Amino acid sequence: MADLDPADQQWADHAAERLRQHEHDVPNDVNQRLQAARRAAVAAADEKPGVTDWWPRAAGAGTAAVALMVAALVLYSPVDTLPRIDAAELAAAQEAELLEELEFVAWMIAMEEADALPAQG
Amino acid sequence: MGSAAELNQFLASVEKRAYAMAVTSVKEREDALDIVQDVMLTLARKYSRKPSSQWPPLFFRILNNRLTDYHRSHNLRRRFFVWLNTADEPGGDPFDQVPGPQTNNPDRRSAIDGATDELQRALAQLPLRQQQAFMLRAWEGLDVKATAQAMGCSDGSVKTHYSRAVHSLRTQLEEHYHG
Repeated sequence: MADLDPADQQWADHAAERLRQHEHDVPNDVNQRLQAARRAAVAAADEKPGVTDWWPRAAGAGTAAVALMVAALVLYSPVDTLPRIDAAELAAAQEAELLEELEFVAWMIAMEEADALPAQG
Repeated sequence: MGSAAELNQFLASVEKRAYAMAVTSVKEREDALDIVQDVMLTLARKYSRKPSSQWPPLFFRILNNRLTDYHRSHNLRRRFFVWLNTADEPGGDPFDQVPGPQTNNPDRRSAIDGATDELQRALAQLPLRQQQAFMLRAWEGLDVKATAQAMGCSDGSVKTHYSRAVHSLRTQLEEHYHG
């Protein structure tokens, strides 16, 4: 179906023809800038995709991965799964280790003394 | 897939028309050049690997989107200035004081066809969608389907906008055109 009746179509064709004739009448500086823009566009089309396009995607994926890791650490913190040890318990444990060491040293001395007795006798 | 030579040839075939359409629509030479440059770059970067037969509707769709964005931002700015009452200053609304499409080039002023000048002025006054429909259907010569693709609307909407545009222009410019 035509969008216009024949008279309107004829008028539109006539008007468009005038516009098309007129469009080439651009100043030299505009023409030069259009040509420069065209050259830049053609050069941009030759750029390899992936050379300039990969890093924003990689950066996005990296940011998402870091965000997921932070969320996982916050939600499932290993600190919550370990038994809590307060200062008194830690000090007691250290004292027990020291006591065991003292007992071991005393035992060693006793053994050395026991070994020495038959030789003297 | 289009080659670099094909892309260069295509852009060369549409660049002046795109500029003329842009300067008719935005009324400002520098803005029109920026818009056309941006459209060329966008087409080249995003769609140069498409078949060259798809370039015309894509190119003019990008152009239409840029012109729509331009008018939206300027309408917003104009409303803001009206709100500040700056439009009531002597000289009126600065947007209305922007010279017509060809007045930036006084050396060529005498060579301008008065009827064409009037047509461009009337075209610039049309609602944006009618303006776009006329530019694409009549000026660029796209068919209804390609125009609909470029404008992002249905075939029926294209016909409505185009018909209204022609009636409006014809009514305004009857004394200049007797097609």
